[in-house]
Amino acid sequence: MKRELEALLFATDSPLTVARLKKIFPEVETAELKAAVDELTGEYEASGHAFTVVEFGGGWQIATKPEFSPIVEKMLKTRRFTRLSKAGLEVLAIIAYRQPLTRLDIDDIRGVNSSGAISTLTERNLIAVVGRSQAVGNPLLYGTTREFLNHLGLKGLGQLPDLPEIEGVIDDREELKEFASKVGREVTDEELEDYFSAPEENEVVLEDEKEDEEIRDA
Amino acid sequence: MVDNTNEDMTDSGPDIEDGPVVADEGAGKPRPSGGGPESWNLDSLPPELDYFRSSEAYQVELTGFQGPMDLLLHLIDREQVDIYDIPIARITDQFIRHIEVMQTISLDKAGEFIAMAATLLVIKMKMLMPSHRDDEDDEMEDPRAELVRKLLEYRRFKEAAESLQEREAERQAYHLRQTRFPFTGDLDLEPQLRIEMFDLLSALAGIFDRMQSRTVHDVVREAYTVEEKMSLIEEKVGSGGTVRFEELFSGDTIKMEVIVTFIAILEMVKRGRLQFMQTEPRGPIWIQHPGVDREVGDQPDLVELDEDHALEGLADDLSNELENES
Repeated sequence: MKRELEALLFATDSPLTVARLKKIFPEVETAELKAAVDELTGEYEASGHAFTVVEFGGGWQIATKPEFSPIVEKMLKTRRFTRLSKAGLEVLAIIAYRQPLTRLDIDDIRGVNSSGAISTLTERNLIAVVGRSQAVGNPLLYGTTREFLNHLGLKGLGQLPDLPEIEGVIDDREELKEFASKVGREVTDEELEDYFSAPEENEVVLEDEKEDEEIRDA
Repeated sequence: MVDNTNEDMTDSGPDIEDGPVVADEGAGKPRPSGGGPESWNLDSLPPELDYFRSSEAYQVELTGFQGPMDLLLHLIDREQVDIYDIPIARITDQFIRHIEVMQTISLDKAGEFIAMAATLLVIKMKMLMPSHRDDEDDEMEDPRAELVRKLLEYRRFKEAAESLQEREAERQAYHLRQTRFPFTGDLDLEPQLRIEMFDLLSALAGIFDRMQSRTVHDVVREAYTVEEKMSLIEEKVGSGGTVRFEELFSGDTIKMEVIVTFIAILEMVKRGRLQFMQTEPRGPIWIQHPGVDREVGDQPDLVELDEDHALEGLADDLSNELENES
């Protein structure tokens, strides 16, 4: 099975999720798949191969190692991987940490209209409409996609770097309280807890990820 | 952030005494000397506006701001003032000076900057008013508090965006097997073969099969237009490239989008902007610009789609199929 998996990881043009692999190897347990991937990675490492197995966007694929990037790019001539603009990254960051949210929520944080960046990100399939808000007019809610994870080389949203705390100074509860009272606002302990808790409760689960989970659970 | 000192700005320094301080100097526009009745002498400036006597006040950065919040953060950083205790008069004046410069370079986002300037002026005004102490509550909210909260929140995401950019750069160093860029090598295509409509349809069926269901919620989707798809296809095929038929559908997520792309391809073939190629009967279909590596007119491989009714019939079939499925 390991060699077969290797062949698939080599031949695929998009990361292979557990769900897809399970369809190909119905009799193999998820743990076995993971173990096989680890073994392959170990082999490539031990024998000094130029490639490795990466896990992007919840799927595996064989990729060349970063140190060979310059020579590979020389061969490709054109750069297929286009980086995002500053505005695009800002909007993406807001969506990634605060999803699901509406365009107005985004505009409110940035203080500028973000519709241009939103349509570019949508066209590139980095974000998608994930629902509608209950607010007046039922505006569209945006969330990140699997391609977003792939673009940043993340396994899942849990791997996002922590959102910077407000000011280095204010990572302390007492100081936050002090600041709040300075500007004339009392902060309750509950608010403090909310403020310091991790921003992960709003994770959006896309259909295929759900599928993965179901398969893992089964 | 790099402070791009604009020479013109600095040079306009000596003119300062001729105009209102908060107005046009920053824009570098020469003002008619004498000024209006509202012009005031620099010497009459209150001491807290000392700042404007320094030439530094005219060093402005014109581009690279994502919006008014970004500019405001930049000013706060540059002045090294405490974000929790912003000297609002000074920052407001500098902010206005910046947007005046931006207006002269017709920045289309000027409106958003002006809205922020208005907010700043309101805060400035409130700060100047004797504080109306509430009878019940001794404390009155600092007029700046809301703005500070927003600035801090925005700054978090600005920093988060920077760390995402680092991730992006790291990710970029990994190269995956790719089949998506246009094939530019020798493909040895057989131009004699003629592509049957059947081949096209079965290729399309393959795309439907491979299409992973992504839509979870009942979401109203964007409308796709044939024109948009045509320009996207133009981009994908590039100049002189050859791509797999399937590649043109690579970004499509829903059936309707696939259909629009398909119609766009047919339309482009019909207009002679693309041509179909095949190496063997029933083989994969390739798409390239007409006239690549061959004489114009020597294109027997073009599928004959000139008959409009054939196209329409195809579109009808597709929409019927769609209806049946849903």
